[in-house]
Order: sequence, then C-alpha cells, then structure tokens
Amino acid sequence: MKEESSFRDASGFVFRDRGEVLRAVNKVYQPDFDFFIQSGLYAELANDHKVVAHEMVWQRKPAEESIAFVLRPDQIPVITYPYEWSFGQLKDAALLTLEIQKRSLEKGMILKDASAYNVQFIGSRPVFIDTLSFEQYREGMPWMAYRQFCQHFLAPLCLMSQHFLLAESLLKSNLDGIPLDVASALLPIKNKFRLGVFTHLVLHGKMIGRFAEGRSGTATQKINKRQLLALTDSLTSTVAGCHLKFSKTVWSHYYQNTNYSSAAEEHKVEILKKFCRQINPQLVLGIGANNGRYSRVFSPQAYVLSTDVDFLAVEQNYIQAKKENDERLLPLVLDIANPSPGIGWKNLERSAFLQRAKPDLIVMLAVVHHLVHTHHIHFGMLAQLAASLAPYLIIEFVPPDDSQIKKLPSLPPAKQEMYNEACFEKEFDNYYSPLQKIKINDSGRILYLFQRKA
Amino acid sequence: MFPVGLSLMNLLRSLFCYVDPGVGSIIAQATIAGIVSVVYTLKLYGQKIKSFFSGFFKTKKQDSARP
Repeated sequence: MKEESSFRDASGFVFRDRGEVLRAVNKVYQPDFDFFIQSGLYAELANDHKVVAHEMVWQRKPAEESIAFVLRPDQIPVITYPYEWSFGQLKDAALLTLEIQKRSLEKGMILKDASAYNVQFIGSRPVFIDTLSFEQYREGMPWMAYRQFCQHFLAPLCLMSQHFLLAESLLKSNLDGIPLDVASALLPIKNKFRLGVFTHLVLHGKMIGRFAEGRSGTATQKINKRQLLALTDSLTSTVAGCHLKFSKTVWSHYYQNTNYSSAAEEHKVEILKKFCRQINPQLVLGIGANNGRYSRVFSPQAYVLSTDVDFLAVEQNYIQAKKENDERLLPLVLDIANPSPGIGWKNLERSAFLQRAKPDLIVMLAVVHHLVHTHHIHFGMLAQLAASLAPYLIIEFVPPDDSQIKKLPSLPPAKQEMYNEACFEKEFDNYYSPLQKIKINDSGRILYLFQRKA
Repeated sequence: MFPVGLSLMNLLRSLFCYVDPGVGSIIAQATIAGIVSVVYTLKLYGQKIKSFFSGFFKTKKQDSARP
C-alpha cells in the first residue's frame, strides 16, 4: 500500500508491505541511484549512521513497469515530525542535512530537497531517511532546495532562539515551512543583523517577494561548486549559532518542585520496574513525561516515546538522551489534550500522532489531575483514549487533597465531587481490568497497572 | 538589477526536482553565495595559516625537546 505522503517525487515512492516500510525506485532515477552507490557516498554515509541503511529486496517488487527495484531500509521505530521535536532535535536535523549536502557536493552529488521530514530520530540519533534525495551535480546548477532548507529549518530555529518557542508549531499549518518574510517580520530587529540571518533569511525573503511572479527556470544565475560549499558552510555556521535561551517555564523545573519525599520516589521507581517486568512492553508512550526521569525506568527494556507539552522539559530530556547516546528513548513535544493532527493532502500526508504511535503500554504519571483541572477532561474520556491506543496502562492517581492539586485551577463543585478514587476506578473499569494497585509509600498517591478488556 | 530571462538554467535543473524555489530565491542564492564565498575563502586561508604556524611551532618544540 503506497504511503499517502509519497507522491511528490518522480524518482520513486514509499509503500508498506507485510507491516514493513519499503521504497520503490523508479527506472528514471536509476542513473542517479547508481552514482550514489558507485561514488561511495552511500557507503560512507551509511557507515557513519547518517543515512538509513538499506538492502535490495528483488522478490518484493510490485508489478508496475516503471519500477526498477525495491529497497528495504532499516525500519524506523516510530515516524515523528518536526513540530513534535524540541529545539535541539530540529537543530541537529538541520546540521545533519547540511553535513550530507556538503559531503554530497564533495562526491559530485547534491541534495535535490531539504525537507525536515527527510530526517527521523532513532532515540536521540537523527538519521536521513530519503535515499532518493541525491542527484548528480552538474557544474553551474543552483541548490534548488535552498529556500526549502531556510523555511523548514532556519526560520523556526531563528525564531525559537529568540524566545518564540511556539514558532515550531507554525510548521503544522505551513507544510513547506515558515515563509521567510513572515519569519523576518517576527524576528527582533537586533537579531536581523547577524550576517547569516540577514542574508539567508531577511535578504532571501525580500528577494522572493520581489520576484514573486517568476519560476526558477527563468533565472540566469549560475553558481559554482565552491560557492555552493560556501553557502553550505555559511548555513552551518548560522544554524550552529542559534542557541536556545533557557528561561523558566511552568514545567522545566518540575522535579525540583514536587511533593515527593525520597522514600516515595524510590518506591515509585521500584513499583514501575515491577510493572515493567510483569508486562514486558516493546513500545511505551509516556505522557506528561517531563524531562524523562521515569521514562528511563522503561528504556532499558522497551523503546520509549517520552512526551511532554513543555518545550524546555523536552529539550532537557533530549540533551540528556544525547549525552547518553540513548537510542531507546525519543523525547517528543506532545500536548495530549491537543495532539498533532493529520495535515497535508487528505489530512493523511503527515498523519496524526495518535495514528502513528502504536504503543503496547501507556504511562501517565502525575498527569491525570492536570488534565481534569486544566482541560476538564474527565476520567472516562481519558480511559477511553488510553484504551483506544494501547492494551496496557500504568496510571498514577493523585488524590484530591494532594498539595499539587491546590496549585491548579479549581473545579466547579459538580466536577469536584466526581474527583475521587472510587469514581476513578469506576470509570476505568469500563475499559480496563486492574492487574495491580499499589499505594506509594509516604504519599497519598496510587499507581495502577491496567489491562484492556477484550 | 538582476538579469532575468529564458536561459540554459532549465538544462541545469534536475529532471526529478519537484521543489521550485522561484526566481527570487535563485537570484538571492547567487547573490548570497557570492557574499559568503568571500568569508569562506578567508576562513580557508585562515585555517591554512593557522595549521602552518601550529605545525611550525610543533616542529620547533619537538626539536628543542630532543636531548
């Protein structure tokens, strides 16, 4: 079955076969693909884990005449999109794209596109997945993906580094990145005079506006390889020069402000380890995981999507995962009350988060009271959502007299009456059977392990 | 200011490239590539000079370290 996102490039397409993602390479692209292999570029990039490795699978070739052969790339555990990444993830994806562009030019090739969707994460490691993005370089040709790179990477990174963290979510409404004139208008004036920002973003945006009518084929400019390398080098410096200015957000210092004693915390970890051993999960979705402290209880055993709504908490999580070269834990920005929707053609080109992630265990620790008090999501809705996603659920119930609840917006009396342990269990009982219920020592909180009812 | 018209550029375009950045972006790219090439060249020469002197002093140091 052909992937809905795979229709723009005539070089080939991605499809699913027996639960695996395969890539068909069309006959028209074969000369470029052969050059990619014979030049040694593929071997170098794959050995360095920059590009996803693949093998030929002749026997799985669809009947279509236009297809030359089929590749089976190493499978990515879960596909994620740039608007679900932290600043550091987007920056590392940008630097990876530029490194590949530079190494391609040195081998006589060039990237024909520079979409942020060409990069995926395996834990904390970014990898370039579009094997068909490489084409032979011909002297004088410009980099057709320059604008795309600036819109997909440079514009959001520049804006995010200027405290405009939500800029990344503009990628949800703008499939081909943030328009450069918009980014330029949003940037503080003092930031516009860095050479890289001024040229690649401000001047570039102005010139796109000035010649808005023309197609690129009518331009007469030729650019030599040395200039392309200079352009790549300048973009690399500009991206590397974007830094996130850490400031305090609601959640970024969460674990310094909890009401857990060390005994309670140790007991909580012990219970989670026990639950994990009991169900032996393969893919865990942590919701409200903050900086991933408790996600790391599961990552030795399972691949963990460690999600949180807070950009800075996710950034901290990513920095730690990167430091530990962790390829089992993927930090992601996710608001479970408003998860990434399906966007693009038929709303399927970039699918909704809840359709992509197929966990066998959901972990929601100290998050229920926030969803109830802040978003007015009641227990039944939460149970229904969790049961639609995974067969197992670990959930922490925070009692109404907990000191953290007093910091949240108060509930209207009718809803307040419903916020108690008995109602919680009754609502979850509609969807789940309890396997374990353990009260955390030195705390009023309770951890449940649920199994979905057949 | 910038010559725009039908040209051989179409021949230099990829057969498969579905990304059309528009004429403004191509003109901007040529202009910006010209500007940043100067910085790039200076950077490369700077690196060469630096490696020459670091190699030179390294040799001197090794010479003086010999008994």
